[in-house]
Amino acid sequence: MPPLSLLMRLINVNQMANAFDVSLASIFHHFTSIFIFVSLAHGIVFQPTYLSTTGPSATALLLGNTTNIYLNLRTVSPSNRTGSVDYPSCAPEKTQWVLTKIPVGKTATSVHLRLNRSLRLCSENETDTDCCPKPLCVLETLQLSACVGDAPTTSALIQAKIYTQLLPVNDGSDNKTTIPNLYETFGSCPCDLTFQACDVRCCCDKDCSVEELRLFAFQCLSGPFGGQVSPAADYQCSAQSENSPDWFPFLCVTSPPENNPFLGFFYQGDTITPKSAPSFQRPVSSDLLPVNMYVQGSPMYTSNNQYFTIPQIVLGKCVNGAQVAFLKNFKVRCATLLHSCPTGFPLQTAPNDLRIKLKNGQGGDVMVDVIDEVAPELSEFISSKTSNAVQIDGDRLCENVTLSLDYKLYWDENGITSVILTRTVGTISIFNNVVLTTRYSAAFLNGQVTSEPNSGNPGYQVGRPVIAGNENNDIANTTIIQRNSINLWKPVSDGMCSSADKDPVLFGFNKTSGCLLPVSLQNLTQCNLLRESVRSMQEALLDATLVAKNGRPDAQSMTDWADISFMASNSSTDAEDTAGSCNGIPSHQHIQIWSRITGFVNAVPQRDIIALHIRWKPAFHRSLRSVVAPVLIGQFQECCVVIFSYSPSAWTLDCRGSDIAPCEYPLKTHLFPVTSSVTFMDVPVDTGPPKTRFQITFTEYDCDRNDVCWPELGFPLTRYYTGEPFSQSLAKGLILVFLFIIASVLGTPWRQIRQAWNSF
Amino acid sequence: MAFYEAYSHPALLRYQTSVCTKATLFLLVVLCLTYISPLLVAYRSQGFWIKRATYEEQPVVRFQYQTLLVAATSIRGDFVAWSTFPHLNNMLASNLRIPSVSVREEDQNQDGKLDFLILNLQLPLQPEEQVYSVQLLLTFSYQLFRMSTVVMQSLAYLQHSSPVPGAKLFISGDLKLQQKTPLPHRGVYDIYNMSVIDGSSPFASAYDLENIIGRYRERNLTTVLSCPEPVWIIGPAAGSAFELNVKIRYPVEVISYRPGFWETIKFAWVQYVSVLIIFLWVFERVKRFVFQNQIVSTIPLPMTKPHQS
Repeated sequence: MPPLSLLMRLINVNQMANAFDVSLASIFHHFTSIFIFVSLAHGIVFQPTYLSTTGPSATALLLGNTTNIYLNLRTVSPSNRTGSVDYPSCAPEKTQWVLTKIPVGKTATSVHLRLNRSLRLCSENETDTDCCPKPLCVLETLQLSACVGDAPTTSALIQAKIYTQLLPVNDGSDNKTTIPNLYETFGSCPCDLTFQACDVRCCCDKDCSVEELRLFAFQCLSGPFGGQVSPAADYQCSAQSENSPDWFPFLCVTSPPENNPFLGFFYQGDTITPKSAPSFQRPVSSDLLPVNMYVQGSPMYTSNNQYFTIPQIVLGKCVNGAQVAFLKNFKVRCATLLHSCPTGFPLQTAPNDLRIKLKNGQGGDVMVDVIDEVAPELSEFISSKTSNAVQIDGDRLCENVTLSLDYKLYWDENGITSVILTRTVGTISIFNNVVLTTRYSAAFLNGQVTSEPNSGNPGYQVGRPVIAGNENNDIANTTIIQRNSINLWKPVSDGMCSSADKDPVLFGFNKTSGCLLPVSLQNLTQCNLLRESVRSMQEALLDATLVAKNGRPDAQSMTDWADISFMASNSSTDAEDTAGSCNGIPSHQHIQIWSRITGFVNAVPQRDIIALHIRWKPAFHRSLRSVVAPVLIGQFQECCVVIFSYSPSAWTLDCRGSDIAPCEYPLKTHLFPVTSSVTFMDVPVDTGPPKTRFQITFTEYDCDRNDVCWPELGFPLTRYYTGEPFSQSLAKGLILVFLFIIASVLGTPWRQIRQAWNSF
Repeated sequence: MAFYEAYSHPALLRYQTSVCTKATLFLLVVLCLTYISPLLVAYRSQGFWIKRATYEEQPVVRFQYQTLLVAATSIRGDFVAWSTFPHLNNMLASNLRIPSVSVREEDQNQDGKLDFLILNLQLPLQPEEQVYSVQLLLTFSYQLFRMSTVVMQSLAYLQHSSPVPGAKLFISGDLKLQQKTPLPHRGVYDIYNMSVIDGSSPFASAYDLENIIGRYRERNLTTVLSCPEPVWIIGPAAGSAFELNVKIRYPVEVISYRPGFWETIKFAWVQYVSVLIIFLWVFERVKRFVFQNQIVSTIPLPMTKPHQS
């Protein structure tokens, strides 16, 4: 510290030494002046020599040669009589502070004080002593002395005024935070503006002498106080004076004097409720408790309150412990790369492990019936070419591998009536890391075990298979219709017809598919044989004569079924087959399904099939559709059976290109496509007469085709306006009309009418 | 001696007629033509009723700290995944790999609305693993206030794959709003204020990306992460961790809405009156000509001193 400033401070302190002063600031000045001399002698000084803290820690620097120096801390209080503080002492005393020394340089030491108690506010009836009984928790003056031997060399004063910490409960997410005391006066004397000088009319200024106070004792300034304003505001009823107007009692305010605009004005300890923001918290995962009754989407439980699990796909990988939800069907395929024979679940399963008891949702249990099947063919499950287990024998042959688990869960209302598990097992050989594709499915079926799945109730549902049927005359001479399905080709791997599967036709989805048939030049010399073989292949897709009109047909009632009309070629034999080409080969089978909305159930339209036409389209035929379409529609309206003929066409080997091998070698094959397709056509319920050309071009009243159509002239008042509800726009429109009427009544036209009226 | 116009004032000429006369009919026809023709002209020249209007607003977006990450670690289809959903993490079992994720949302211009999100994700990898593709799903809460109050939960989905393994993926994109139909001009629009991913569901189908995206894109209001230039840093993962740096800005959006009744009427009125003025002027001339020349017979009153009636 520069000597000059020290001297200045010394003079200041001496000037005010005789003033009546109990404030701590003055105490500090009072004493530093004495100890500065002492400390100067030893070359040791605290910087700063006075500090006040409002928090639980304080830091000061001890400057000078601090070897052989120890620190002593004690609590002091100004004497009531003189207002002065005791002289520093080196006698140890127990305080609630912890003192630490950290050297920061050769001639400086950092001194840290930390409060060694909690700043928590005591709750009511709390017995724990480590808490604050009052909001002002710590109010004390500490004297920090640097001692050599037993003699103090220098000291610092620390004024601690620490309030309790009011931490919000529940990490601040609770909105209810109590604010303890909002009344904070603006210092002990707000009008004391000048340091160490008496302020005029400031009666609480401690710098004023008694003589000075006497001068303005009756004109004291009433300063702003943080809440408790001493003179009541003049709007208060209690402040009624003689000068108040006579209506004052009607308009005055009755409220406690604390409730005024200054409430909380100088309060510094206000609390801010932190906003709850999202963060990386573990979401509260509530385990669903077992319920007595199953509803759609609720998990299913086994009889010992475990989740009922079937392997399912999560993010592209099969997991074993995936739960099954009630009435949620699924069908997954899991690919597993096998290096060795599988041993664990789900590739090796014991029937007893699968034969578990499920809660049936109605208070009882239901047992899973396991039906074992041996996979007739493994190509569906194994993708590797050398998949045939029989050909390779050795130690890498895995027996009884579970290839698929198909659950059928029959439900009724809120419960499960029975569960049938079809387990397909097979023997596979592990050869060069086989990829095994296993299949897991769960299907919830309504009704009895024996009933077949329907495709709608009563109309067809989009996406459900179209039901076909065959008549079966049983012994009692009643006609029972055996259900069947209509199929399209489903090519697998190389797309050959020999390996192709069948895929059922789903209602509402147009589809095309096909397979490839290798045909050699020799085959093309036997056209009749070729035609018949292709036709039999196509016919195999559809082994039915009837199609169900609705999604829930009655097997005994012919009214639910419609005939399938075949539009087969009758002219194939007429065509002349030339060498290397065959005419009239039914290479394309086209299925046309006509459906119509027949009614509504709960405002859901119900679609019925009214006719199904199958057309064998000969190969390479181009102009068929345009010729036939009008005939089709015309005949359809009368009857569902359409006989149809077509011009012959051909399968021909085209040898003009580079690939001339099939033409030269009779047994070399060329691939010809055999295709099938299905088209769903809606029959409009009521088409009405066709539109005239005038109706088509005249769009003045058609708002879909004309932006400035006449119905939208008053757009905000029409149903085309969706910005507001119609009632509101109508009300606002009426307000407008009313305003216009008012304006016109006051305006010219009305005056003219009135004149004319008066002249009668 | 030169003259000048010292003063001028208009004189009022009055023409009288009875009710059932040609003059009355003429007046009615002119009245209709004056007031109805401007409506037809204004309407038939397109754009009379505004049907869609737009406004600008920066949305209030908060990252919801729900994340789903899938990273393919081999060309055979092995992957590691992580999410903030405990049920999904349980199901993932051996495929679960917990990355270190740091997130910061910043309000750059101090206007009280967050401007961008910085997400840094370090995915630890085994020595034989290399990242070929990354799928990341983040959820946001999205709010608009100026016209109708929109509160919704939305998501940003980013996907990048590469035939060569990468060490780092840098994404800097905008969270853009997509709307299929205009918003209402007032009121609360909170039908999409529900979780995009049901984190409390124990079923596998709740975390199926196909399901989540499929259901999400059905909505009228969605957000999409627009990032035309993802930067895929090729190379083995440095420090055996794949790094994903994502910066998503929340830009000012142009939002279209259906104008309210008064707004529609106001713009129509502006157009109507501007056409009406022309018609008023023309037909005023026509009327003056007709009455001055007595084309329809009326009784002209003698010009008198106008007195206050």
